[in-house]
Amino acid sequence: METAFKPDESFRAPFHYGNSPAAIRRFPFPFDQDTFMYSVNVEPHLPGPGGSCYEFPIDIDEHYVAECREREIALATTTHRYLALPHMMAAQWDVLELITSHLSRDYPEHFELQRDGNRWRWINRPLGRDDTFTFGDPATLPQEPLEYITRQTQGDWCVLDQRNGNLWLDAGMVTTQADWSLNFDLGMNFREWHGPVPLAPELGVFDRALKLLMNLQLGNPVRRLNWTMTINPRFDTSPEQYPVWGPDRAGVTLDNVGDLAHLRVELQALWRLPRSNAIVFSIRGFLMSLREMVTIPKWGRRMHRVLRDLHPALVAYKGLGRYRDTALAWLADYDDGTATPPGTQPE
Amino acid sequence: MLVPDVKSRPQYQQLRFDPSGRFHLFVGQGDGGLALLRVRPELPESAEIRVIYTGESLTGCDLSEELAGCGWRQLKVLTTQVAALQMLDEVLEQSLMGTRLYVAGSEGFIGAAEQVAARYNLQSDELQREHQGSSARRVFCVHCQTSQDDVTTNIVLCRGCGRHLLVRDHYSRRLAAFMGGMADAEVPGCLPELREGFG
Repeated sequence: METAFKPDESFRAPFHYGNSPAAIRRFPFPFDQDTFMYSVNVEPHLPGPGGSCYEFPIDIDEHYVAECREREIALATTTHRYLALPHMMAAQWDVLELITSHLSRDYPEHFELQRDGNRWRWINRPLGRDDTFTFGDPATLPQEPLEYITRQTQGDWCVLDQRNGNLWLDAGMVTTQADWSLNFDLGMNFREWHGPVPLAPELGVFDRALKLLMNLQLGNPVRRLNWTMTINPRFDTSPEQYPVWGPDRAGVTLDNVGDLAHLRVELQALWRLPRSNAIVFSIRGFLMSLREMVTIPKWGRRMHRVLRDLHPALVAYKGLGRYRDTALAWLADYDDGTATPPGTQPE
Repeated sequence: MLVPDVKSRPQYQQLRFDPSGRFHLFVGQGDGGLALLRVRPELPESAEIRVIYTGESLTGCDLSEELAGCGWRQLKVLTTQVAALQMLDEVLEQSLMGTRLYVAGSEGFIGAAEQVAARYNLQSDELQREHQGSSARRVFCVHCQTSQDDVTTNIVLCRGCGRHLLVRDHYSRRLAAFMGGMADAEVPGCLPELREGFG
């Protein structure tokens, strides 16, 4: 698919963002039925249909250039968004190799990787970069390898070290997160950093997920979807920036909710890394306003029902309390009560 | 009482002498002296043991005299927590393989001692921690990165940025603190009810 980038988009005030009809249709809508509860919804990260956001392991879409600029702004105006503990350097190079090799293979019109032994040349045409460096020598890059390459991607990246029967969040580039802090969580193990999540521990979700991830095999990545809602097409909803985005929630009315309230879906993919035996965990966010969502009638009906019947603990955890009723009142006009076929596809 | 369902919080235990160690370093603060007094009779006379203690605590429990009276060969009593942690740092710097570290005191003190220990790559099985005394929390402001000690309420005014912080049940061992985030960001001035939470 030929991607026309939209470099003028802005994910902070003044906001300027929208999805083309094609982008709406390829949106990873997360609800395969009319209710939602946590589960270990992990599946093999296998190629999906052409044009879908699963076609390639790392998706590049029309928001790529703007999201990379958003990351630059976040890094320039806030601190502690990129962090890596010293023992993670081998994993950093692993991630650089994963991203550059996938993007150059899957999007040759945009990216090119030339490897001559340890001498690598990386060309990123949408961002206008042409860099030559020595693989394994951090001094030949303008930033550490993980920071360097994730500045050129959409979504957040966490690198998990595996030791002592657990996974440890020991490095990451996190500028588009749904209310969790890399600076606070760095160095935590799997159970610790999921500590604030309600209900899931009691369902045994984390125990099973940890077991599954500890056995993740090289070459067999997995993925899952996660979701929340965000007011405005804002990617930086970090705890650090809560004073900036918190007030958005109090300004939602029946007149503006269709445009302000966005479904935020995270396509989370995990790969085992070859040299370090670490795991890289990509958290790629997609945003779609309710008004865009109801252009797909099945999704509009289903969103109304999921939101209406959502467990109170999840309403609180996802921070929806202040505007859920308003969103429901607006979505009700798009739910005629007809059945929604199972599955996440648009029809 | 410690809130039982904070999943990111360390597990505390009762200190017990670990015979697999060659060199035993006990660090106590305030009520943590009770743990040191309790284990004292269990310690073999032949064991190489050092003790660092400070009576500085929120609860005012200073057991310096009691500890001095029970015959430790190497006991250092410091007047402040900062001095005790500095001495811990100095001792660990000269430590050998086979060191076992035992820490007893308030949660804030244990966390601070663990931060010192982390600089020397002590493994989890080389460190024991026993919680005694105040459950007051050390709180890290995510907005300005200032930490403050001895927080006993669910909402606290940040010394660094002046925001009212809601103290969350999420603990970082790296920062040795609970997370604090702005309590009235959505509607300024609209604060949850103030409660004594962790005195």
